[in-house]
This record gives sequence, C-alpha cells and structure tokens, in this order.
Amino acid sequence: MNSPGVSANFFIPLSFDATSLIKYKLSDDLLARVAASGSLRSSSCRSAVWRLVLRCLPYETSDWEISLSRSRNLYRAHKENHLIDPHDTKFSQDPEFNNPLASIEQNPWNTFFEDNDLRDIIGKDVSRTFPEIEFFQNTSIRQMMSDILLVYAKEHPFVNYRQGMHEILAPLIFVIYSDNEAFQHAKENDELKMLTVEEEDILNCLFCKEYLEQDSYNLFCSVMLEVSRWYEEPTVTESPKRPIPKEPYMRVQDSAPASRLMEDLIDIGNLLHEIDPTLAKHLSTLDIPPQLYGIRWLRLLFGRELPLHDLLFLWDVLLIDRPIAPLAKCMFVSLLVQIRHLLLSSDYGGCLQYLMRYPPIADIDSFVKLARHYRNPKKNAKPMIKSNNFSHITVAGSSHPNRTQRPQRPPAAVNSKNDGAESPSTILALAPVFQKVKNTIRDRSNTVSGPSSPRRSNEPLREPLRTPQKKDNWANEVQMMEEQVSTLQTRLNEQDMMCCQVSKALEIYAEDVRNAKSSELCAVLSQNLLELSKTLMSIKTVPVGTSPPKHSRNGISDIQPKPRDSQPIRQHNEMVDMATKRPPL
Amino acid sequence: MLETNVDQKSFKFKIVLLGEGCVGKSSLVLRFVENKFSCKHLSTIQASFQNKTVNVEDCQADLHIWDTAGQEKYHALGPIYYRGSNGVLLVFDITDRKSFEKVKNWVLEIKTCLGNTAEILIVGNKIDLEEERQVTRQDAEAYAESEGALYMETSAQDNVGISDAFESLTAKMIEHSRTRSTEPPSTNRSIRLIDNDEAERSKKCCR
Repeated sequence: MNSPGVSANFFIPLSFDATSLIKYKLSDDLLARVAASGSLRSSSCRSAVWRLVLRCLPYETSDWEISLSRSRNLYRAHKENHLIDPHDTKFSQDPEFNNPLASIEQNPWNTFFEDNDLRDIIGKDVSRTFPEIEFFQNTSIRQMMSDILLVYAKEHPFVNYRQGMHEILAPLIFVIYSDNEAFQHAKENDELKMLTVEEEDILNCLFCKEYLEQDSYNLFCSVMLEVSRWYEEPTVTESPKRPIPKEPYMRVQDSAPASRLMEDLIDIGNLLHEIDPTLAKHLSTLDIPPQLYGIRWLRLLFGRELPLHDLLFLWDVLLIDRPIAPLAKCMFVSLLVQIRHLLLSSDYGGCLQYLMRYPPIADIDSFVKLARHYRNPKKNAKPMIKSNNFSHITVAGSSHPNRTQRPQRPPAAVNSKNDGAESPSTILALAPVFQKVKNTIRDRSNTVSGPSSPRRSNEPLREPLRTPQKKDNWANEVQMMEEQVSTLQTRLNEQDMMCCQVSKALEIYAEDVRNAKSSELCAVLSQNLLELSKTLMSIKTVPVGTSPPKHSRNGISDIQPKPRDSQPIRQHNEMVDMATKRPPL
Repeated sequence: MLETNVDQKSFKFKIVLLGEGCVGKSSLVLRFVENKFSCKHLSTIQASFQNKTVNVEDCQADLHIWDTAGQEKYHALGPIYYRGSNGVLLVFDITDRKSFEKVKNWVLEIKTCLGNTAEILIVGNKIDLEEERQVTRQDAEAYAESEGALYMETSAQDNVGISDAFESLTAKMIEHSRTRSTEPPSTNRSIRLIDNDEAERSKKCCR
C-alpha cells in the first residue's frame, strides 16, 4: 500500500494532504520533517498527523478502522457511564431510592447534582472560548466541548477539570472539524481518484463527520497526557493545623516547588539565566519570576500568546517532540529572548504588560527555529533574529497598553529579515507595496468614517470616549495593514523555501535517474517526478483575499468552515488586493 | 516605597481583584482602565495585570492592578498576587448568592494573611441585572461594615460606579499609608532566614 520509493531520509513532501497519508510510508521521522517544514499549515490532514504522532492512530493504515472503532466505542461507553440520567431504566425507578431528595448512597440523583456543579463550571469557560470565532458560538459544538470535558474530568479524577483545558480542547475540535470538511470537499470534487476503493474507505472512516466528538475526546486525552502535568494540584505536604504566621510572606519564587508546574517554571528561570543572563537578571531584579505569568503560557500551550493559525503550527512542532515539556520550556525562553529589547527597556509595569499581553510574533518560522535551537543547539542552527515582534499591538490586534500616545512605527521586523531564506530582492519588491497600502488607507480615510479594525475581544459596545481619536485610529489602521503585509511576506518566504526544497529534491531525483539501472526503478522515479511537478503546480496557499489578518483571530471565522482551496500562487502585487478586499473600513 | 508623610502627593499602590469565576472582575478592570465593555471575552487564566494612574483630590496614585482567575482551583495561587497588596477588591455578582458567600471566605483569608496592611473594598457587580438580584444591598453593606470594609455596587456593562469604586479605594489607601507607618511586606527586600518549620507553615496559609 505504501510506495517504497518515497521513504528517503531527506525527502519532505511539499504538500501533505489526505492522500499523502496513504501514499507515503508514515513514520515519526517523516512527520517531524513535515511538521517542521510548515507543510501542515495548508494541509487538510493536520488532525490525522497529530493523531499519528500522539499514537491515537497506529502507523499501519490497515489498522486504522479497528483502532478508530475501538476508541469511538470506548468514548461512547464512558459517556453512558458518566453522564447520568436518573430516569434511565438502568437505575432502580423505585421512588424510595431514586428521587432527588432521597439521602441514600445509591441514589443516582446524588451524582447528577454533583455533576451539575462541574457542568456549571465547565459551561462558564466553554461559553467564553474564542469568543470571536463563529465556530465556537455554535450550541452543538459547545455542548460537545462540555460533554468531552465532563467525561474527561470523570475519567481522570486526579486531574479533574481545571480552567484552561477548554482552550486545549478547542483547537483540537476545530482542526478535526476542518479536516473532515476538507475531506468531504475533496471527495465531492473527485480529488481522490488515484486511491483504490479500500484506501478511500480507510480515509472515509478516518475523516468521518459523525465521530467528531469521539475523535476529539480521543485526541484531547492524548494531548492531556502531555499537558496534565501542568494542571495537577500542588502536592500538599502539610502537617496538622498550626497557627498561621501573618508575616513575613515568602515570595513565590522562594518557596519549595509544590508541583511539577512550579518545578518546570523554576527550570525555565534557570534556563533563561543560562541563555540570557542579562535578561534573567533584569527580570529577577524587578521581582518578576516565570511563576508570575508563566502558568497560563504552559497550561494553554501558548494559546493566548499567538494567533490561532500560528499556534497550530507551533503545536505541529511541539506535539511530535515528546515528551513535550523540554521543547515547551525552550519555547517559553525563546518568547522571552525574542522581546528582550522591549523587556530590558521597561520597568516593572511595562514588563508585566508585555508578558501578560505578549506582543505578536512577526515571523513564527524563525521563532520556532530559535526554540529548536535552544532545544538542541548542535543539531539546529540559531536563526538570525533581530526584532521579530510587533510591540505596538496585542495578539487581539488592539493597541498595546505599553504603547505611547504617539503612534510608533512597528519595529524593524517588517523590513528586517529573520531567516536566511529571504532574499534582499523580496524586500525591495515589497517597498512599493507598503506605500500603496498606506495610500489606499489614506485615500479611504477621507471618504469613509469610523474605522473598525478586527479585534479579538474587548470590542466595545459602548465607547463614548473613542470618537475624538479618529486620527489616531487611522494610524492604528495603517499599522495593522503594514503588519498584515508582513504576514504575507512571511508566507512568500515560505513559498520561497518550498521552491528551494523542490529544486533540491529534483536534483536528487535527477541523480537517481542517471544512476538507475533497471527500467522498473526508472518508472518509480519518473512517477515521483510527476508527483513532484504536480505538487509544484498546486502549492497550496490560503487565497489572499480571505487570508486572516495575522494578528487578529477574527479572520479565522471567515475561512474556517470551508475547506481550504488550493490556488496557484500569483504575483507579489496581488497583496495590494488585500487592502481593497477587506471588509468596508 | 511608602513614606508616612502627610505632604506626600504621589503614591504607588498594588491592588488585587479576587472573587468567584464569572462575576465580572476582568470587566471591571477593562471598564476602569480602557472604558470598554465586552460581553464576549476570555476567561482569565492565572492572572492579568494593568496599570493606571488616578488623581484623587490633590494626590496622584499609580495603581498596579492584578486581576486574578476566579475558579476555585486557582484559589491556591491567590497569595502570589495579594502578597504586598495595599488594596483588595473582592468582587461578587449580586445575582449569585454563592459568589457572595465566597467573598466571605476571601475576607477571612486576606485578614489572616495580610492583617490590616490592606484596605478591603467589597464590590457587588452586575446591578444592571437588578431584577435577578439575590443579595440585597443592606445585607452586603451590613456585612462589609462588620468587617471594616467598604461596600459599593457597580455595573461594568452600564459603567456605573466603577471609577468611584477605584477612587474610593485609592483614597482609603492614601489615608492608610499616611496614618500607619507599617511598611507593606512586598517592599521588604531584606533577606529573611526562614527555617523549614516556618516555611511549611507559611505555605499552609495559602489554602
């Protein structure tokens, strides 16, 4: 079933979609390379890759159907077991035992009321999950999330439910849902013709819409195996009651670590000290240890520090490097090192603002490279990073509290390049684009009033004070545009990188063809070449007009329910379209 | 940091918001700092930080505001944030009796751990939902008075009483720092030698 010709070590598929799951010989090694290359960003089988690397699915495709049906049945059983309906006939319906007021141990109502409290707590969080993404406003999705979290809590009483888990679950459901939709779409468009009937059946089973809840639970449990260490209750090592001292109060960083979370945060502090002693000293002088802000970073796997589409890429890389804690720690430190110039020039309040509202990363790719460098300095070269964050805005896209009144230019990130893949000519080519975007905005500002830049939350319903600041808002708008252009630039860089990879692969194949002795091998190689050229023709990009603004999550809702289309890359100046295609300003 | 000087005009204070989940702590801060309200926002995980400078009478105070996660399970983290606070804002939802009971627990804990170094302001939020009210103003006021705390009612949605609340608390903190010479614990940077026995006890008090 898997073609043996395409397992060479250096090979990285250019695009990775549902059929690739069948075509390639899947292994951790291959998937790690796929994930690191960023191919999954436009892929329609990210969820499958996550399930594979987390061992929810075996690598042998022929075993998938059995494995899937087993895990789906298991969830159904858990759900029946834990979501108690006292009217269910499996309980005695004798009113003496089964009524809301009976104080008897076997009374199913006891559990029912207990669960209701838990359901209540979960519900409060579920209803506040990604409020700006349409997908999560859907009642059935919310219900699904609540059920999954409740079943998880009951199945794992030592971890239970804790705030934050809902934001681990949400991206998982989102990814599985999108992939299921994309598969349906591909099927309807006859894109699966090269598969045999059996192969298509396997994929049908994998990307089955009906099992969204079951599959999400299964994936969630696997992710939680890695993440639950940061949700555990602190171990209580206390002796019987003693008088509580009023003062002095120990500082959090001085107390002995009571949980793995605290241990890890201490590790992170030490790692920072090794990597960047100046920064570490600055933060410790200000009395800002990682414990003060980092619990959220770890518990949500950086979910609030990055916009969703970058977050998913980060998870691609993170989930395959298990146990994930070491890489997560390196990512944590990289986040700090990346904004060291901002932190070093800020006081206590300023630093906390940056740490609590992390300035968006301009180029996620070089960020990931930096983290991987810290993880394994010998294997991974350190990327050139100058300034890679937009200090003037938050991930939500609203202006950063640390920003001074006078609109600042974003840091040089837009123009400075962070990784080697970038050629100077791209920068030159972009200069007029910036100008055009700015001009478009300025022209519009004369005719249209009331800008509304996409915001993640905090969207004011009543904002009596905002009207007089129109001018300032336009400056924000321009900055937002600049930053979006830089997003597209990053995307172009990715395309450039892919092209490099294709040309490398071509060279290797050419060499193989030259050395090939048997005609059979020649046939395999020429087949590979054809595939390569097909991929090259259809390098997937999110259509520019619908691309989500990089640092706002709002854009996601526009693209999420439909499958990602493939569109050939067009000219640089298409980026100007973004300005004209944006919703009315 | 703080001097007991009646002529002092500028102050730095640390304020912490505590209370049950979903009572509107983040909304209060958002309204106070940015004068915005959003009915769709994210749950606070761990904590969040804001600063704002306010003028009360002829004094200026720089407020460092810590907004904490409300969920029960995060309770253990409380001490990280209220340590060294000059003011504590205990928020409850007037339409939720349970959240008011929770405030009472917090009062006990704060009094035990901070003694009288911090001023307490109890806030009943969501008065725009008057018809669903479960905690009467009289009850809450009487309780606050018995604990020597201030009580105020607010609506983050309709922008009622928010700046009043923060300003009253600030005024109290100014008065406090002028009249009492106790130095708040956070400013104490000297090294303390704590034997294990004591270390264990101080952990204990966070529960």
